[in-house]
Amino acid sequence: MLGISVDHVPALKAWADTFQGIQYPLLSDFWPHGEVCQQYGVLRTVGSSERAIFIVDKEGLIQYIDIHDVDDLPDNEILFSELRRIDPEAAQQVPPEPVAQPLPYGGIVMYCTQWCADCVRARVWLKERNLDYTEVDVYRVPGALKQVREWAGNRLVTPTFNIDGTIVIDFDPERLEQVLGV
Amino acid sequence: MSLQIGQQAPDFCLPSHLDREVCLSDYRGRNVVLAFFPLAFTPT
Repeated sequence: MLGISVDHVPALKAWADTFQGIQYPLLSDFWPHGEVCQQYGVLRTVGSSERAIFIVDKEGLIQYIDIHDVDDLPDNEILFSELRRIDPEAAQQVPPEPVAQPLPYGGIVMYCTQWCADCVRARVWLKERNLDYTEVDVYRVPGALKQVREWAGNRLVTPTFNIDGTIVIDFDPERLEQVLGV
Repeated sequence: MSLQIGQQAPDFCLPSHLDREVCLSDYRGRNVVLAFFPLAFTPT
């Protein structure tokens, strides 16, 4: 597994630090800018790449291509099934998904990532109003990512709030005030 | 130019966040998943 983007190396390092032990190298196609992305036909006119998956087999031949909508994340299950098809033996070594624990419920539960700008704004907003909340990092809590995507029609939007069963997608202060009665 | 299934994947060497250069050809003999993503810290 190799991750590739047009970010420069320090940005990739900073991003890797936010994951718990990323298992594969993140490669920087920063200079000459997007050269590899261009070779693979995934450089967009805005200067960054598509969200795309290529599977290259043992002989270096392309076996699978999936170019995804930028706002949508590829489905790991599709990826695993392609890998099983291409290499049935190695596929048996794919670790099982961690068992999802029940997600927190009650009061304000905020699903977020460490870095998203709206999550930072939401934390400040909550703190200014002395509102207690439980934070769930969608990349660290098993099952959280899937749940958040289900709420938002398969898109990943952070922050997403579960306030005693009422789901608020995105940081929308007016909607939060309405739901919380503040 | 767009790549097709069954074609040879263009080789490349790029710097990585692990401070070492990684080439696709390092992985010959293994299946490799290349995951292109727009930018670090996305989606928001």
